[in-house]
Amino acid sequence: MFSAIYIEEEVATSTRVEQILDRFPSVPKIQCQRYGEVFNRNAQNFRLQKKAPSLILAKKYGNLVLPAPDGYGFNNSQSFYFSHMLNCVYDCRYCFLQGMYRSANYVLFVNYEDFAMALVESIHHDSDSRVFYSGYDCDSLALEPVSNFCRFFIPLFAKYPQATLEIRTKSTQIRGLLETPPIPNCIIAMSFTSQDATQKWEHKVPSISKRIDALKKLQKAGWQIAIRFEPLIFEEGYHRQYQQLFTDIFTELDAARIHSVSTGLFRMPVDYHRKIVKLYPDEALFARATDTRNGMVSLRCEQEAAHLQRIEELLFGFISPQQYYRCAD
Amino acid sequence: MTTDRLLNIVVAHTLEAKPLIAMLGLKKQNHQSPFALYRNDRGTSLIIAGIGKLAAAAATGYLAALQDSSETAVKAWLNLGIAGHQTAELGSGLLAQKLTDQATGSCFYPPMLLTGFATSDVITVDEPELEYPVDAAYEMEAFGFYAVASRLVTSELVQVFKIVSDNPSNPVKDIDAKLIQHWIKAQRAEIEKLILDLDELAQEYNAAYQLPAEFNELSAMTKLSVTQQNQLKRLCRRYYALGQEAQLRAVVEKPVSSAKGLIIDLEIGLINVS
Repeated sequence: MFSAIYIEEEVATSTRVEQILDRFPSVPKIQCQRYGEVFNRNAQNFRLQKKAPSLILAKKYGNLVLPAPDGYGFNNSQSFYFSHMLNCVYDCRYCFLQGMYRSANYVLFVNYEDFAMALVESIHHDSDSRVFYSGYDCDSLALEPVSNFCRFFIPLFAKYPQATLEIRTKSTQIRGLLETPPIPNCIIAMSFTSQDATQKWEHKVPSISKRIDALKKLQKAGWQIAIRFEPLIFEEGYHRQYQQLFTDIFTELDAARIHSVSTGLFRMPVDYHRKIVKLYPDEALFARATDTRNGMVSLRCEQEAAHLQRIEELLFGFISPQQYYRCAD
Repeated sequence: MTTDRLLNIVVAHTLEAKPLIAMLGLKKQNHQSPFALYRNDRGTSLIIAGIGKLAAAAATGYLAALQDSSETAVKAWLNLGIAGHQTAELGSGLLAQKLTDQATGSCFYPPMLLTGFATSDVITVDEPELEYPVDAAYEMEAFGFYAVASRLVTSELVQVFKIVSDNPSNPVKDIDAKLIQHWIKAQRAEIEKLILDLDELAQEYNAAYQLPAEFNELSAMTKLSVTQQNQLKRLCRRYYALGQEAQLRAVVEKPVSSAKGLIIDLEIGLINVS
């Protein structure tokens, strides 16, 4: 699963680290002082490293809970995100993480108790409800057997019903969730793209049918589920593709009980896009014409607004407009 | 081994080089050189640096400079040699997982993409280590080699492999020079796998990042500014990525009026392609 495990000196003796290391007796273990020595170094190639990523066990200092980017989220509540992990076990070609980090290694911040303190502090900050997103810099569920992320954080949120936790994922690692009593203020949000897009760009990601099956089990067990259709990339036949995808998803799930459904267009900060183009000069997706507005790159598409509207019309054949939101540009 | 290997090997001593020279079919290069240099016609070079991290750094830089102008493909770099170890058995082969310069405490972490090898921390010392105080390999070149080689190519393509020649039961002063060659020969399977794996990475890297031939052809047809060269590189790559090789070839076949005109024509050619 990992080609090596790096361990920051400061967390080397923590119980959580010892438990993780016990799972991988034959993987090389390497001590480092700070994770940045390995993760942030120059002269690394994300693309090559994706062939055999290592795990880095580290402690995160400061900025444990951050305001979510504008337009990220399902309502007008104050939104925040927290990242117990950097990088993702999947290899989606459109993902901004490729342009954000120099290394494809996974960093797992094991000081969950510090994250918990920061989350509680943020929840207590004022009386308004707050939404906390996990899965912005990683896939929160995909490494669950190793990280025990849900096992730790869901009981925490159970104590604070005024706060909502959204776990953004493409993973089918739901055993831990199914073994836990569901809480109403935790939403498991599964991301999808069309079948063609999945085959072309979502490497190592569970199939659409497996993801639907995982959602079905979660919904049956009483968990709140949500669907995220992003990034929408309009190609020939997209309407038929999404019609099929929506049919597959919403006929298997109880659509009326879905917490929310959202769409998001392909958008990426200019700097990240520039780095990804260099990383994948042979990738057709990044060879396409682009437009840049307010520091964000989008794929040039004259009919983008009309295509999005057609997708929304399709969606409203399955869900109510009240369940739907658009991620802002 | 009969296929091409995009590889540079840096060793400290002739005794370490000899088995590799035989294994890889390398031939001594006779031009005047501060370092003994061997090559085969399949892309592998080996340089004998001499003892110490400064010598290793100098030899690595020298070999890179020799190749810089004449060879376009990126090559992998390997430092191979003997080392002492606190716990490992004599003759063991170890891939470096962390390199520490004992004099400064500075560290490198070679990316661990190559699996299936025994691994070890490696500590580069200025004088032979007689006490083996920690569970690591002690040697005198790796840090100097890595410091230079990791500036030349992406660090995934730079690796260090050490073969244990001494340990607390068989101290460094008792090393039998004849055994060095024996130990390296005995690691032949591991060395071949390492070379194969490194070469595979280098080939993959080159396949991903090589410039289409049309870039050189078009560059030769008109005078380009640095900015225009970069634009042309990107455009040539975009044509290939979008499956428009034939259209790019068609541009090469036509006369070029000016650099600016060329760039505009190429851009127009991609407007309706996605």
